[in-house]
Amino acid sequence: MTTISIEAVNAPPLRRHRRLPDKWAWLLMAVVAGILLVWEAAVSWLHLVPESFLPPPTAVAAAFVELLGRPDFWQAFVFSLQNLAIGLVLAVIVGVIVGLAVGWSPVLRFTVAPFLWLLYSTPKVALAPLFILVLGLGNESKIALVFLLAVFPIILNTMEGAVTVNASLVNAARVYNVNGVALGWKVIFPATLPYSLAGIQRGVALGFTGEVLGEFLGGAGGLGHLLEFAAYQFEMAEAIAMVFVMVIVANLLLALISALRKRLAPWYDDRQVMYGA
Amino acid sequence: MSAMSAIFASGPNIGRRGLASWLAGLSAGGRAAVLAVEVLLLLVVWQLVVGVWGLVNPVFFPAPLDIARGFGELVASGSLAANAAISLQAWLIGFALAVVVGIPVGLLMGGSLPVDKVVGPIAWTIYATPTIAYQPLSKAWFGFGIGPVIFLVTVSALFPILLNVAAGMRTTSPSLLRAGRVYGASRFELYRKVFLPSTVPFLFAGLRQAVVLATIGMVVAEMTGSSSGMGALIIKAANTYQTDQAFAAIFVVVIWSVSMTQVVSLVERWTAPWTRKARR
Amino acid sequence: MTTTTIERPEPGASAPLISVRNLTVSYNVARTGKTLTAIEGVDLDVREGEFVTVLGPSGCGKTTFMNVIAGLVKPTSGEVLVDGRPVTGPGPDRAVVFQDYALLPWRTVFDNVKFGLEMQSRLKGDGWRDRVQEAVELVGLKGFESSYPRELSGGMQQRVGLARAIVAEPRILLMDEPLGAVDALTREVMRDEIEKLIAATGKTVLFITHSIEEAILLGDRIVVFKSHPGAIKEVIETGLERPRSERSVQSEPRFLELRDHLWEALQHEATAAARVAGS
Repeated sequence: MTTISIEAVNAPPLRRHRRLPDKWAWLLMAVVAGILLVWEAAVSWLHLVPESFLPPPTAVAAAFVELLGRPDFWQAFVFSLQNLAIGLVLAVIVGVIVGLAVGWSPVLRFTVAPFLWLLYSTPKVALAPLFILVLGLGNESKIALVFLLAVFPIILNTMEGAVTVNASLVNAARVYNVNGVALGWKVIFPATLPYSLAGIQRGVALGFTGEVLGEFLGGAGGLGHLLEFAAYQFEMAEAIAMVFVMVIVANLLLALISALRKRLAPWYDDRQVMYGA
Repeated sequence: MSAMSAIFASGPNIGRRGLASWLAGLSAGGRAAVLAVEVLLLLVVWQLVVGVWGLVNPVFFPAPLDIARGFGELVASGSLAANAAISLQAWLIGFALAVVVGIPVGLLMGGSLPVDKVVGPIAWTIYATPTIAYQPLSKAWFGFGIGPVIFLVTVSALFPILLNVAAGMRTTSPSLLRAGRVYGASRFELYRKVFLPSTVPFLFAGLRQAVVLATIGMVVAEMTGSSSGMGALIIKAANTYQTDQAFAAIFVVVIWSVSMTQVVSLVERWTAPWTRKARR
Repeated sequence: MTTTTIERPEPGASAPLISVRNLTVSYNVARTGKTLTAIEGVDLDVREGEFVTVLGPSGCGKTTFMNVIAGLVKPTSGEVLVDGRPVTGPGPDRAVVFQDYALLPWRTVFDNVKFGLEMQSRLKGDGWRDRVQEAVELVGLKGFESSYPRELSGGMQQRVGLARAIVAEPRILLMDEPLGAVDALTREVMRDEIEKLIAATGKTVLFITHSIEEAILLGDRIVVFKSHPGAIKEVIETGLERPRSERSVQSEPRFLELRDHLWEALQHEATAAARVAGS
């Protein structure tokens, strides 16, 4: 307690000081506003960049508002998020089970883990054309892609969590006669949960990539398709607005998982997960 | 790879008997041998299931020997060399750009609170969005060719480098900083002799992550907006049902990704030997 | 050199090397917005060559006390004088041995030991190499010069910390529970070694500990801290002969008497602290 407080007060000038959220939020907003202003000025007033190439923020904002009023946008929205959700749920179920099993069993860890590591670091997006070839242009190929891309970070993180579950924690549980299912449910699962959630967070980002890539390659709907089409038509204002939609969706999804993590595993210091490995 | 060895080294000891204890007792060489046997076994089963018994349609999932043949065809026709050269060029240029921009900006973020507070949220927002979302814009802006590929590789690799460097600066151990101050280090010396070396392991962690993401960015960009490069080769092969060639090309990309990660680790071991595990 | 505001002691009288006057340190806890007083109204004089141990329960502000003398924390009120001059920051006349060793992980043993000299721009000429080597050997690490801290045990790492502190030839050694993270056996061995080392160099030492035995075995005087807020409870002269070895001292009646006394004092403090924490 004492030492932490000393750091906060007497930290060298370069270290992070106590947060003053308001002040920095204002600064951030000012900088973003400044960027938008320069952008607007460069395009609309000074004509440094052709408007068809980079439309001004006002045009993008107008396109954004227009998008939100279009039914086909919401159709695409539902299409993409539905596939994403199905793929992710499957990935979470399979990922957590496989991760726990491999993390817990030394034999599996030895025989299967190296392959999982290899597959994890493989750019699996390269398999996308084959998925479309096999599963067609519909929902299935996208769901499968989401699953494929999302499942490995979940497996690997859960596995690391299960391995890291302190042996002494397990021993302590055994002393109190906690065994079998109860051991798994009361000790191993909660202890690995923060790791799994970190994996799910990565999995969501990769799953999103899978969904959008699937829509780019075998376009039959979805946000990716809409974006691709707008860019193809050189409707740049709409295309940029679509990119903003994706930025918002991706960040909201991550914020959701973060909130979930704080709620389900409030005891855990998430910095450990993020930079631990 | 260190994470992998850590997984082998540690872990709950309970219930370790029979096969498990035998595996645990193996030397490094013995483990490699067991893994090699495993890989061989896997390939043989795969060959049998697809190639010999024909349980799976080989067009969708070609057998190992077919993939090897496909690889031979790609080499013989010269298309592998031509496309790999283009990919390599785009990857290296894009990655170099990311390093050149990412390290200084990361250092600036780690060293200056206002910069961190402004650039940080913006960087995290862009990083959280899969780079594939920027591909159509990049195509519209940079045309059909190597331009959008370089752009996507750079954007993919930039943020892991930048954010890790910034995090490394910010998490420099306060106790080391105190020691530096006690022994009279100036502000500049604190930077050079405490902050920077502390950041090195984070930099390499970021670079390793960047290698993987850059490769994904490259493949995505080439598949969706280029007529050349490994991604384009994969797409062309798949669309003409030459899946053996597609798989061969995919393996080349995988080997590239894995070996670049190894290169980063090697450079780390060479430039930052203190991060190596204790021997005793 | 300008010490106009400070009254110089009479020449001839042995002036204290360290003089702490009415020292108070408090800080704002950013999360709650409250002000916390770490230490309040501390007065202490330490003579040149004296070995003073500071004993107290955890959270009594003894580390803050040491950090002020080291120049790492600024006093809220009161002052610390070293050799008659007020402390405004870290200086080459004081070296610190940290509880968590604080060795730079990217430097070998040799390069860690030379760190102090390097920061004070004292690497000119060739003499420094011998001095660093000498310090490494003095703490018994000959043969480990090119090892990294990671490759050493806790006890060995703290020997590096000790060598780093003495090589810069400070007048004052500040030791913040240097053996707190070391295993019990190594601890006993290192206690004896520190005692001998300090006796040989004649340095002034402020040694922080929460071990009663350590405080008696090493100190000429024991400063007992109380908590909430941190302040000096009492100062005791040990009056034990030097050189002391762990075994011989522990059977002396004076040792036992001191131990019982300190134990009672600390127990009282600990229960008081628990009551405050619980309320």
